[in-house]
Amino acid sequence: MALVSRVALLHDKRAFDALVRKYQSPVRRFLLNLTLGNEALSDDLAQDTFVKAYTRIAQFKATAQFSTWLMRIAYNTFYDHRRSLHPPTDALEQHYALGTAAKDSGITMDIYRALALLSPDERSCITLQLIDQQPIEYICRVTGMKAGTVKSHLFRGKEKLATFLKQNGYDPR
Amino acid sequence: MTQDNDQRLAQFFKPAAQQELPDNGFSRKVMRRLPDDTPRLAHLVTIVGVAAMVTLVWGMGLWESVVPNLKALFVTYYTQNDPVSIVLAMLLFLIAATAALSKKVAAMVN
Repeated sequence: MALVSRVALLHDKRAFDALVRKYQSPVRRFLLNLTLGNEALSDDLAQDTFVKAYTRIAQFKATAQFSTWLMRIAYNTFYDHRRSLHPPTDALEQHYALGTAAKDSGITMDIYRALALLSPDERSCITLQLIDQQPIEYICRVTGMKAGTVKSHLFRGKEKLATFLKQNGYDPR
Repeated sequence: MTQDNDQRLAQFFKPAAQQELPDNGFSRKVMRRLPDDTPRLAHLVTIVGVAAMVTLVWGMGLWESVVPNLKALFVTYYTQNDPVSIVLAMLLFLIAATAALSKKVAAMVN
C-alpha cells in the first residue's frame, strides 16, 4: 500500500515518518528561500506544514500529486505567517535579510539579497521556477494563481533580478 | 534576450537549486508534534476488552500460562502502536479460552 494511503486510511505514523523524510528537503528549501534564509523560521513553518498535512490528509485527492499538495500547504503556511505579523510589510523582508546576513556569506547571501528585492508573490513564483525548476502549471497549482498572474509576477521579478545582477557584477555586459 | 536573462538567472540561482537539506532531527521534531488521533472510543473499547479478557482468563485459571505472553503483546501495542500485537493477543486469548472451555465441556459430559 502506498505511504499516503497508509496514512490516510490507517493513520500509520511510521508511513508518515517516511513521507516526512522523503519530502523534508524540498519543503524546507522552498520555505528557506521564501523567508530569505531564516533557518529557524523556515523550519518552524516546515514543521507546521507537515503537521497540517497529517491532520488534513483526508482532504488529499489521489488525482493530485502529493508533493504539489504539500507545497501548496507550505505556501499557505508561509502566507498565514506573514498575515499574522503586524504589519505584514517589507520590514519583514528587511528583518529576514538581516537575520540571514550573520550566517551566510558570498553567493548564498547574494541570492537572499536578490530575493529580498521581490514582492512575496514574485518571490514565490521565481523560487518555484528558477530554483525548483517547475513549470508554470505547477506554480499555478501551488499558489492558486492564474497562469497570466504567474507570468506577470515572473516577468516583473526577472526584471528586478536582472538589474540586481548588473549592479552586482554578475552580468558581464 | 529573455532567454539570455533566464539562463543568467538560472546560473545565479544554481547553488540554491542544488541545495539538499539533511534531515538533522527535523522529521523527529515533526513526529513529536503530531496529534494523538486515536479515537477515545477506540481506547475505551480496548480497555473494556482487556478488562473482560483478564476477568475471563482469571476465572478459567489460565493466569500463569497466558499472562507473560499477553503482557509482552500489550506492551508492544502501546509502546509501538503496532496493531498486529493486539490481534495476536486476541488470538492467543481465543485459543486459550477455547482450550479451557473444551476441558470444562468435556468434564461436564463425563
